Amino acid sequence: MGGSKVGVEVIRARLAGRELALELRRVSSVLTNEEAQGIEVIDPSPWLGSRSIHEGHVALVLPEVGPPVGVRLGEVLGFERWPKRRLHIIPDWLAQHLPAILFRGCGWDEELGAIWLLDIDHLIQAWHDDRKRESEVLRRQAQPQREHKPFMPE
Amino acid sequence: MADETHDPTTPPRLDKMLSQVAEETSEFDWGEDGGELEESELLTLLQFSKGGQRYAILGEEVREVLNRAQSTELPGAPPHILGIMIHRRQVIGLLDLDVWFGLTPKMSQEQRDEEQFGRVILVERESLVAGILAGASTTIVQWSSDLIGNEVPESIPPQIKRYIKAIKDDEEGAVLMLDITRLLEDAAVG
Repeated sequence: MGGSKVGVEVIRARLAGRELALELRRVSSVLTNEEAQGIEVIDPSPWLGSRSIHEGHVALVLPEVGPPVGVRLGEVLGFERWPKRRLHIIPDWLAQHLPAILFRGCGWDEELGAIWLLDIDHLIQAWHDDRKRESEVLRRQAQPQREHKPFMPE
Repeated sequence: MADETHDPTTPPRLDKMLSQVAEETSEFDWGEDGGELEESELLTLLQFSKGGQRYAILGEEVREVLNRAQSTELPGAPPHILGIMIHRRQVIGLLDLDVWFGLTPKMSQEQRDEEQFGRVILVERESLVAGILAGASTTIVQWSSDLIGNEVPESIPPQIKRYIKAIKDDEEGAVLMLDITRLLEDAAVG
Protein backbone atom coordinates (compact mmCIF):
# COMPACT_ATOMS: atom_id res chain seq x y z
CA MET A 1 0.00 0.00 0.00
CA GLY A 2 2.41 2.71 -1.16
CA GLY A 3 1.24 6.28 -0.73
CA SER A 4 2.62 7.11 -4.17
CA LYS A 5 0.02 4.78 -5.78
CA VAL A 6 -2.81 6.67 -4.18
CA GLY A 7 -1.43 10.16 -4.68
CA VAL A 8 -1.83 13.37 -2.77
CA GLU A 9 -5.27 14.91 -2.22
CA VAL A 10 -5.51 18.58 -3.06
CA ILE A 11 -8.02 21.38 -3.14
CA ARG A 12 -7.90 23.19 -6.47
CA ALA A 13 -8.56 26.90 -6.50
CA ARG A 14 -8.16 29.97 -8.69
CA LEU A 15 -6.95 33.08 -6.92
CA ALA A 16 -6.25 36.37 -8.70
CA GLY A 17 -5.87 34.60 -12.03
CA ARG A 18 -3.49 31.92 -10.77
CA GLU A 19 -4.21 28.23 -10.49
CA LEU A 20 -3.44 26.98 -6.99
CA ALA A 21 -3.57 23.71 -5.10
CA LEU A 22 -3.15 23.01 -1.41
CA GLU A 23 -2.98 19.80 0.48
CA LEU A 24 -6.37 18.68 1.68
CA ARG A 25 -5.02 17.14 4.87
CA ARG A 26 -4.06 20.61 6.12
CA VAL A 27 -7.60 21.95 5.68
CA SER A 28 -10.26 21.35 8.32
CA SER A 29 -13.07 23.00 6.33
CA VAL A 30 -13.79 25.36 3.45
CA LEU A 31 -15.86 28.39 4.36
CA THR A 32 -17.69 30.99 2.33
CA ASN A 33 -16.57 34.57 2.71
CA GLU A 34 -19.54 35.27 5.02
CA GLU A 35 -18.78 32.24 7.19
CA ALA A 36 -15.18 33.41 7.53
CA GLN A 37 -16.15 36.75 9.13
CA GLY A 38 -14.33 37.15 12.44
CA ILE A 39 -11.56 34.72 11.48
CA GLU A 40 -8.02 35.91 10.79
CA VAL A 41 -7.72 35.38 7.01
CA ILE A 42 -4.38 35.29 5.19
CA ASP A 43 -4.55 36.24 1.52
CA PRO A 44 -1.65 34.79 -0.53
CA SER A 45 -2.29 37.25 -3.42
CA PRO A 46 0.31 39.90 -2.47
CA TRP A 47 3.06 37.24 -2.39
CA LEU A 48 1.96 36.16 -5.86
CA GLY A 49 2.18 39.67 -7.27
CA SER A 50 -1.56 40.48 -7.14
CA ARG A 51 -3.84 42.61 -4.98
CA SER A 52 -5.88 41.12 -2.16
CA ILE A 53 -9.40 40.33 -3.33
CA HIS A 54 -11.35 40.11 -0.04
CA GLU A 55 -13.86 37.70 -1.57
CA GLY A 56 -14.34 34.04 -2.41
CA HIS A 57 -13.81 30.93 -0.34
CA VAL A 58 -11.58 30.59 2.69
CA ALA A 59 -9.84 27.40 3.83
CA LEU A 60 -9.69 26.93 7.57
CA VAL A 61 -6.24 25.46 8.15
CA LEU A 62 -4.59 24.02 11.21
CA PRO A 63 -1.06 25.37 11.63
CA GLU A 64 1.51 23.15 13.29
CA VAL A 65 1.61 25.69 16.12
CA GLY A 66 -1.11 28.15 17.11
CA PRO A 67 -4.82 28.58 16.50
CA PRO A 68 -6.56 27.81 13.18
CA VAL A 69 -6.27 30.50 10.51
CA GLY A 70 -8.13 31.15 7.30
CA VAL A 71 -6.40 31.11 3.93
CA ARG A 72 -8.07 32.97 1.10
CA LEU A 73 -8.60 30.61 -1.84
CA GLY A 74 -10.73 32.70 -4.19
CA GLU A 75 -12.75 30.36 -6.38
CA VAL A 76 -12.63 26.72 -5.24
CA LEU A 77 -12.67 24.41 -8.25
CA GLY A 78 -12.88 21.07 -6.47
CA PHE A 79 -10.93 18.27 -4.86
CA GLU A 80 -8.50 16.09 -6.80
CA ARG A 81 -6.16 13.21 -6.15
CA TRP A 82 -2.80 13.67 -7.85
CA PRO A 83 -0.50 10.75 -8.56
CA LYS A 84 3.24 11.41 -8.52
CA ARG A 85 3.35 11.78 -12.30
CA ARG A 86 1.25 14.95 -12.05
CA LEU A 87 3.95 16.67 -10.02
CA HIS A 88 6.84 18.50 -11.66
CA ILE A 89 9.93 19.85 -9.96
CA ILE A 90 10.94 23.44 -10.66
CA PRO A 91 14.69 23.56 -11.46
CA ASP A 92 16.86 25.56 -9.06
CA TRP A 93 17.57 28.38 -11.49
CA LEU A 94 13.83 29.07 -11.73
CA ALA A 95 12.88 28.16 -8.16
CA GLN A 96 15.18 30.88 -6.82
CA HIS A 97 12.62 33.42 -8.07
CA LEU A 98 9.54 31.71 -6.63
CA PRO A 99 7.87 33.32 -3.62
CA ALA A 100 8.56 31.43 -0.39
CA ILE A 101 4.85 30.62 -0.02
CA LEU A 102 5.01 28.15 -2.94
CA PHE A 103 6.55 24.71 -3.00
CA ARG A 104 9.37 24.18 -5.51
CA GLY A 105 7.12 22.08 -7.68
CA CYS A 106 3.88 22.40 -9.58
CA GLY A 107 1.09 20.47 -11.16
CA TRP A 108 0.33 20.87 -14.85
CA ASP A 109 -2.88 21.08 -16.83
CA GLU A 110 -2.69 20.94 -20.63
CA GLU A 111 -5.15 23.80 -20.98
CA LEU A 112 -4.46 25.88 -17.90
CA GLY A 113 -0.71 25.44 -17.52
CA ALA A 114 1.02 25.42 -14.14
CA ILE A 115 -0.90 24.79 -10.93
CA TRP A 116 1.12 26.27 -8.09
CA LEU A 117 1.35 24.39 -4.82
CA LEU A 118 0.69 26.55 -1.80
CA ASP A 119 3.02 25.91 1.15
CA ILE A 120 0.74 26.58 4.12
CA ASP A 121 3.49 26.67 6.76
CA HIS A 122 5.62 29.12 4.79
CA LEU A 123 2.56 31.26 4.05
CA ILE A 124 1.72 31.52 7.75
CA GLN A 125 5.36 32.23 8.57
CA ALA A 126 5.57 34.93 5.87
CA TRP A 127 2.36 36.48 7.20
CA HIS A 128 3.71 36.56 10.79
CA ASP A 129 6.98 38.08 9.55
CA ASP A 130 5.04 40.78 7.67
CA ARG A 131 2.96 41.61 10.72
CA LYS A 132 6.09 41.87 12.84
CA ARG A 133 7.64 44.24 10.30
CA GLU A 134 4.47 46.33 10.14
CA SER A 135 4.22 46.71 13.92
CA GLU A 136 7.91 47.60 14.07
CA VAL A 137 7.36 50.36 11.49
CA LEU A 138 4.35 51.65 13.44
CA ARG A 139 6.35 51.60 16.66
CA ARG A 140 9.16 53.60 15.03
CA GLN A 141 6.72 56.09 13.55
CA ALA A 142 5.10 56.60 16.97
CA GLN A 143 8.41 57.10 18.84
CA PRO A 144 9.60 60.44 17.38
CA GLN A 145 6.17 61.98 18.04
CA ARG A 146 6.53 61.22 21.73
CA GLU A 147 10.11 62.47 21.81
CA HIS A 148 9.30 65.76 20.05
CA LYS A 149 6.31 66.81 22.11
CA PRO A 150 6.02 70.60 22.02
CA PHE A 151 7.03 72.35 25.22
CA MET A 152 3.98 73.38 27.21
CA PRO A 153 4.76 75.86 30.00
CA GLU A 154 2.90 75.11 33.20
CA MET B 1 91.48 35.18 -46.46
CA ALA B 2 88.23 37.04 -46.33
CA ASP B 3 87.43 39.06 -43.29
CA GLU B 4 84.68 37.34 -41.18
CA THR B 5 83.41 40.57 -39.65
CA HIS B 6 80.99 42.50 -41.80
CA ASP B 7 81.98 45.99 -42.83
CA PRO B 8 78.79 48.15 -42.98
CA THR B 9 80.29 50.27 -45.79
CA THR B 10 80.49 47.30 -48.21
CA PRO B 11 77.43 45.43 -49.56
CA PRO B 12 76.76 42.00 -47.98
CA ARG B 13 77.94 38.92 -49.79
CA LEU B 14 75.34 36.99 -51.70
CA ASP B 15 76.36 33.60 -50.42
CA LYS B 16 76.11 34.75 -46.82
CA MET B 17 72.70 36.24 -47.41
CA LEU B 18 71.51 33.04 -49.05
CA SER B 19 72.72 31.10 -46.04
CA GLN B 20 70.78 33.38 -43.75
CA VAL B 21 67.61 33.04 -45.81
CA ALA B 22 68.02 29.26 -45.90
CA GLU B 23 68.33 29.18 -42.15
CA GLU B 24 65.30 31.40 -41.59
CA THR B 25 63.06 29.41 -43.91
CA SER B 26 64.24 25.92 -42.99
CA GLU B 27 60.84 25.04 -41.49
CA PHE B 28 58.06 24.84 -44.04
CA ASP B 29 55.67 27.75 -43.60
CA TRP B 30 51.97 27.35 -44.45
CA GLY B 31 51.62 31.09 -44.13
CA GLU B 32 49.73 33.40 -46.37
CA ASP B 33 52.36 33.57 -49.09
CA GLY B 34 53.35 29.97 -49.32
CA GLY B 35 51.62 26.73 -50.21
CA GLU B 36 47.90 25.98 -49.97
CA LEU B 37 45.84 27.24 -47.05
CA GLU B 38 44.67 24.61 -44.60
CA GLU B 39 40.88 24.29 -44.84
CA SER B 40 39.19 25.93 -41.86
CA GLU B 41 36.76 23.82 -39.83
CA LEU B 42 33.10 24.06 -40.73
CA LEU B 43 30.72 24.55 -37.84
CA THR B 44 27.10 23.52 -37.92
CA LEU B 45 24.70 26.02 -36.39
CA LEU B 46 21.00 26.49 -35.91
CA GLN B 47 19.88 29.86 -37.24
CA PHE B 48 16.68 31.56 -36.10
CA SER B 49 15.03 34.97 -35.85
CA LYS B 50 13.73 36.79 -32.82
CA GLY B 51 12.34 40.30 -32.83
CA GLY B 52 13.60 40.88 -36.38
CA GLN B 53 17.22 39.99 -35.50
CA ARG B 54 18.86 36.78 -36.74
CA TYR B 55 20.86 34.64 -34.34
CA ALA B 56 22.74 31.35 -34.58
CA ILE B 57 23.61 28.75 -31.94
CA LEU B 58 26.24 26.02 -32.26
CA GLY B 59 24.53 22.75 -33.10
CA GLU B 60 26.23 20.90 -30.24
CA GLU B 61 24.64 23.32 -27.75
CA VAL B 62 21.11 22.70 -29.03
CA ARG B 63 19.26 19.84 -27.39
CA GLU B 64 15.93 20.07 -29.19
CA VAL B 65 13.72 22.44 -31.14
CA LEU B 66 10.09 22.42 -30.01
CA ASN B 67 6.88 24.07 -31.09
CA ARG B 68 5.83 26.73 -28.66
CA ALA B 69 3.23 25.19 -26.37
CA GLN B 70 1.18 26.19 -23.32
CA SER B 71 3.30 28.24 -20.94
CA THR B 72 2.66 29.90 -17.60
CA GLU B 73 4.18 33.00 -16.09
CA LEU B 74 6.52 32.20 -13.19
CA PRO B 75 5.58 34.23 -10.09
CA GLY B 76 8.45 36.43 -8.95
CA ALA B 77 10.57 35.90 -12.05
CA PRO B 78 12.36 38.78 -13.81
CA PRO B 79 10.79 39.90 -17.12
CA HIS B 80 13.32 38.11 -19.35
CA ILE B 81 12.09 34.78 -17.96
CA LEU B 82 8.82 34.70 -19.84
CA GLY B 83 7.47 31.66 -18.04
CA ILE B 84 7.67 27.91 -17.87
CA MET B 85 6.48 25.03 -20.01
CA ILE B 86 6.56 21.27 -19.59
CA HIS B 87 8.49 18.97 -21.91
CA ARG B 88 9.05 15.28 -21.18
CA ARG B 89 7.93 15.90 -17.58
CA GLN B 90 10.64 18.52 -17.16
CA VAL B 91 9.91 22.13 -16.29
CA ILE B 92 11.59 24.35 -18.89
CA GLY B 93 12.21 28.05 -18.24
CA LEU B 94 11.68 30.27 -21.28
CA LEU B 95 14.13 33.09 -22.00
CA ASP B 96 13.19 36.09 -24.11
CA LEU B 97 16.30 37.48 -25.81
CA ASP B 98 14.65 40.80 -26.72
CA VAL B 99 13.95 41.52 -23.06
CA TRP B 100 17.36 40.31 -21.85
CA PHE B 101 19.17 42.40 -24.48
CA GLY B 102 16.89 45.39 -23.81
CA LEU B 103 15.75 45.52 -27.44
CA THR B 104 12.44 46.92 -28.57
CA PRO B 105 12.00 45.26 -31.93
CA LYS B 106 10.16 47.05 -34.71
CA MET B 107 8.05 44.26 -36.13
CA SER B 108 5.05 44.07 -38.39
CA GLN B 109 1.85 42.51 -37.05
CA GLU B 110 2.52 39.55 -39.34
CA GLN B 111 5.95 38.99 -37.74
CA ARG B 112 4.43 39.30 -34.26
CA ASP B 113 1.75 36.73 -35.11
CA GLU B 114 4.42 34.41 -36.47
CA GLU B 115 6.43 34.62 -33.24
CA GLN B 116 3.32 33.79 -31.19
CA PHE B 117 3.40 30.38 -32.88
CA GLY B 118 7.14 30.19 -32.92
CA ARG B 119 9.65 27.69 -31.64
CA VAL B 120 11.47 27.04 -28.44
CA ILE B 121 15.13 26.12 -28.77
CA LEU B 122 16.27 23.99 -25.87
CA VAL B 123 19.87 24.72 -24.96
CA GLU B 124 21.96 23.04 -22.33
CA ARG B 125 24.88 24.05 -20.14
CA GLU B 126 26.04 21.42 -17.69
CA SER B 127 22.80 20.35 -16.01
CA LEU B 128 20.90 23.54 -16.80
CA VAL B 129 18.35 23.35 -19.63
CA ALA B 130 16.58 26.49 -20.82
CA GLY B 131 14.28 27.32 -23.71
CA ILE B 132 15.10 30.26 -25.95
CA LEU B 133 12.07 31.76 -27.68
CA ALA B 134 12.46 31.95 -31.45
CA GLY B 135 10.44 32.76 -34.54
CA ALA B 136 8.65 30.09 -36.51
CA SER B 137 11.43 29.24 -38.93
CA THR B 138 14.78 27.76 -38.02
CA THR B 139 17.45 26.61 -40.44
CA ILE B 140 20.69 24.67 -40.24
CA VAL B 141 23.68 26.63 -41.54
CA GLN B 142 27.43 26.10 -41.74
CA TRP B 143 29.99 28.70 -40.82
CA SER B 144 33.76 28.69 -41.05
CA SER B 145 35.42 28.46 -37.65
CA ASP B 146 37.63 31.39 -38.76
CA LEU B 147 34.70 33.70 -37.97
CA ILE B 148 35.04 33.00 -34.25
CA GLY B 149 37.20 35.44 -32.40
CA ASN B 150 36.92 38.26 -34.93
CA GLU B 151 36.27 41.61 -33.41
CA VAL B 152 32.59 42.46 -32.90
CA PRO B 153 31.78 45.71 -34.73
CA GLU B 154 31.00 48.86 -32.78
CA SER B 155 27.53 48.94 -34.34
CA ILE B 156 26.47 46.04 -32.08
CA PRO B 157 24.97 47.43 -28.84
CA PRO B 158 27.26 46.85 -25.83
CA GLN B 159 24.63 44.88 -23.88
CA ILE B 160 24.56 42.33 -26.72
CA LYS B 161 28.29 42.32 -27.50
CA ARG B 162 29.11 40.27 -24.40
CA TYR B 163 27.03 37.37 -25.72
CA ILE B 164 28.30 37.32 -29.31
CA LYS B 165 30.85 34.72 -30.35
CA ALA B 166 30.94 35.57 -34.04
CA ILE B 167 29.13 37.55 -36.71
CA LYS B 168 28.39 36.67 -40.29
CA ASP B 169 27.13 39.23 -42.75
CA ASP B 170 25.04 38.48 -45.78
CA GLU B 171 22.71 40.40 -48.08
CA GLU B 172 20.01 40.51 -45.36
CA GLY B 173 22.32 41.86 -42.68
CA ALA B 174 24.19 40.38 -39.74
CA VAL B 175 23.64 36.99 -38.10
CA LEU B 176 24.85 36.91 -34.50
CA MET B 177 26.30 33.70 -33.12
CA LEU B 178 25.38 33.47 -29.43
CA ASP B 179 27.72 32.47 -26.63
CA ILE B 180 25.27 30.14 -24.88
CA THR B 181 27.50 29.46 -21.88
CA ARG B 182 27.77 33.14 -21.07
CA LEU B 183 24.11 33.78 -21.83
CA LEU B 184 22.90 31.05 -19.48
CA GLU B 185 25.38 32.05 -16.80
CA ASP B 186 24.03 35.61 -16.76
CA ALA B 187 20.37 35.26 -17.73
CA ALA B 188 19.55 32.00 -16.00
CA VAL B 189 21.95 31.40 -13.14
CA GLY B 190 22.14 35.13 -12.42
